[in-house]
Amino acid sequence: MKKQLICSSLAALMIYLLLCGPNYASEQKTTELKRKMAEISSMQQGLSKKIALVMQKQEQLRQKVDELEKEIKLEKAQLLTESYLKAIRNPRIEFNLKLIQMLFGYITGLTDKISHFQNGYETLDFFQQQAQDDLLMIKTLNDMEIDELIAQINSVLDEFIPELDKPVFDTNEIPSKDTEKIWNEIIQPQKAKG
Amino acid sequence: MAVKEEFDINDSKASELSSHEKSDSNDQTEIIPAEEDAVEPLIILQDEVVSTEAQNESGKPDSDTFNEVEVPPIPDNGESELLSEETEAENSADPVDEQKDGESDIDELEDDDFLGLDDAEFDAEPPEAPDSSQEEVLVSQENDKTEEKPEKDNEPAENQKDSNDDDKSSVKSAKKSKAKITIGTPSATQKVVGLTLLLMVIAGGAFYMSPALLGFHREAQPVPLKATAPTPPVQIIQKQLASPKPLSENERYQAKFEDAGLLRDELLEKKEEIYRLKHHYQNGIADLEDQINRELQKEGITSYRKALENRRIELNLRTIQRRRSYIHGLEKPARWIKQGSEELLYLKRKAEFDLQLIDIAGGIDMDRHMRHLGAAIQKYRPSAEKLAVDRENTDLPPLETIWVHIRKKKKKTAKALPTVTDREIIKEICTGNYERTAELTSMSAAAAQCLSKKNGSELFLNGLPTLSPAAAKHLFQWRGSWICINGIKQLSPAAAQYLFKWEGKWISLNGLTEFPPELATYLMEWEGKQLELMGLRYNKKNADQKALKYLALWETMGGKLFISDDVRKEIDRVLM
Repeated sequence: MKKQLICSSLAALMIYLLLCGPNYASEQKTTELKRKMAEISSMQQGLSKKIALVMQKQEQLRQKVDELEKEIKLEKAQLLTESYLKAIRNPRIEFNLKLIQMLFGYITGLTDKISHFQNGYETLDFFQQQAQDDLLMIKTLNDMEIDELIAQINSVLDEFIPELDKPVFDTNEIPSKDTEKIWNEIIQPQKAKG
Repeated sequence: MAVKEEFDINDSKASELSSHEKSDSNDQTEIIPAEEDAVEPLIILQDEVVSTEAQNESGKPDSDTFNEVEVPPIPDNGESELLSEETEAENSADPVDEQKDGESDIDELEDDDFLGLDDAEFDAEPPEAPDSSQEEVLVSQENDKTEEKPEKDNEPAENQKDSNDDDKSSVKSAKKSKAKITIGTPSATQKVVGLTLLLMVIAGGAFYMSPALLGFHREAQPVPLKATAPTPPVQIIQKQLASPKPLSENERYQAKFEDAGLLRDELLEKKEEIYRLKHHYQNGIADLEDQINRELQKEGITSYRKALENRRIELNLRTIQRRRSYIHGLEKPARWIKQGSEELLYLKRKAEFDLQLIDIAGGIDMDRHMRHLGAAIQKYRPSAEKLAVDRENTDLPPLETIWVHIRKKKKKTAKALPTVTDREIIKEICTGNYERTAELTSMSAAAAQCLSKKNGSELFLNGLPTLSPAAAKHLFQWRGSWICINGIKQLSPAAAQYLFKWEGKWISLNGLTEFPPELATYLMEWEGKQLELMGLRYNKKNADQKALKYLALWETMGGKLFISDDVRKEIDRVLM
């Protein structure tokens, strides 16, 4: 009698584990996926804010460049010359060209970073979609291999989490355009009309 | 019985003594003759006090109530022993004084036969509540002053001696006991005095604490400062002085930017001053040249030598020479100021751009910007030294050169600087008076803006030698039909851009000697009817057919071109 009881208990336990084990595992994976999806959403929010901020700064710099170019054109009109060497004798033209050179570098750095963040955002979006799909699969099939997905998500998150806190670019590592080229580009539209 | 505060030593004490003794049955004290007080020490024993109380209650005379008590011999330092005995007796005895009536005490004190104190001693000693120590003092004083008697005390005592000899011994003992009792219990006067003194002390304390009660005011005590640092002395406020409060970094940067901006404004003001000064000298030179010309015409002088012989002409020439040197000398500070203002602007802008990105970009060193700005501010702060004109090294133009210039001045175009006349005319134009518009020799953007509001179909500006793009932008908003600017020899592409956007029909540019392709491209946008370019000259060496083509093209589009024959032939040739 006792043996029967023990055997039946063991059998019931095994059946329970067989039935509930996968359920437990799927719940765990579901939880983990949901957690990763939340992390992705949070990261995407951070990236969006960062992108918006950087684009705002970029636009401000572009406006400054436009203002400086207008000043150069005004000075140039009074000088009645298109020669770069003659033009830079005017201190306003010389200094404005240097400022535009600096701002062009900053704009380039910001542009590169914007595209980098946007790539990250889209990648995370891709993984978010995949996680959503896998979640549905788990719900349907009670199991799904998600380790690789989790690892990929973690990789992207690990790449961009530090990016949110550190500076977007280093002013000492920006490309520097030649001021003569800048001058020619400024006066070029006027030549093109001619 | 009324309280008597003063002792009347002249009173007859025997009758009073008896009357007092009789009237106050509760009174335990007796007035003792002074001579007896003075002669023998006062020894008070407790038993006497108790027996005295008992006897007094029965109404018997006090003299009968006192029992004879053996007095122990007085040792050398016996006062203390005696006093200790006395004090013991006193302490153990009932507080007789509590039963007393204060009035009776005072009555007894008034009598000269009071054993305790002499008048002088009574006045000298503080009227304190009697205690054992005071009683000892009183006893010792009495012992010390056995032979000292005031005359007043002695007289009544002497008078009573004869009558009271028999009762002397018994009275002595009674006196002693009563004296002790008398000393131990404060009389009414003493109480009053004590109370008065106490009140005085309390009042004194009250007045000290609040002197305002008496009408006095304490000096205002200085309020202790909470700040540990002393207040700084008054200083002349200067824009460059830092705020006493520690500034945040952003505030520090903004302060430096402001300093740079203020200095730049100062430099621009100085630049304007120099410009006005140069213009003043220029106008002065123009006036002198007119004077010379008038003099030349009047005297019929044509040569330089003859001109120098004329004192007035010579002095005017020298004045022109000096002023030209001044104008030339002002170039250096003007250049320095312009360089300074532009450099300050550049450094300020550079720092501001970096500050704008400091929250998202790395590698920005704002301290370096501040250092550069500080150095520039230091460098370009105007001073007499930096703005000085070097008169010694300035080359004076020769008089003959000036003479030649004057002779050729009529052929030359007017100076770009607005003359006094121009300013007046512009003022008139801006107030709506366009009568002297044709006399203008220079055009500023502001003047052009005023002129653009002129009504009418014609505008003659043949006195203008040049036209800036800024002036062109406003001038060619004038709504008219015909504009004449035949004085212009050269037109910039920027000015041409505004000219050929004018909505008028007829342009006279007969002073133009060159018509480059840049101008021709803008011409293609013009919807006018007639263009006069009679001053164009075809340059064979530098022939540019592109402009001719544009001119020809414009004619085919409906415009009418007035050009010289040479140019017409070239255009025809290009079209063929």
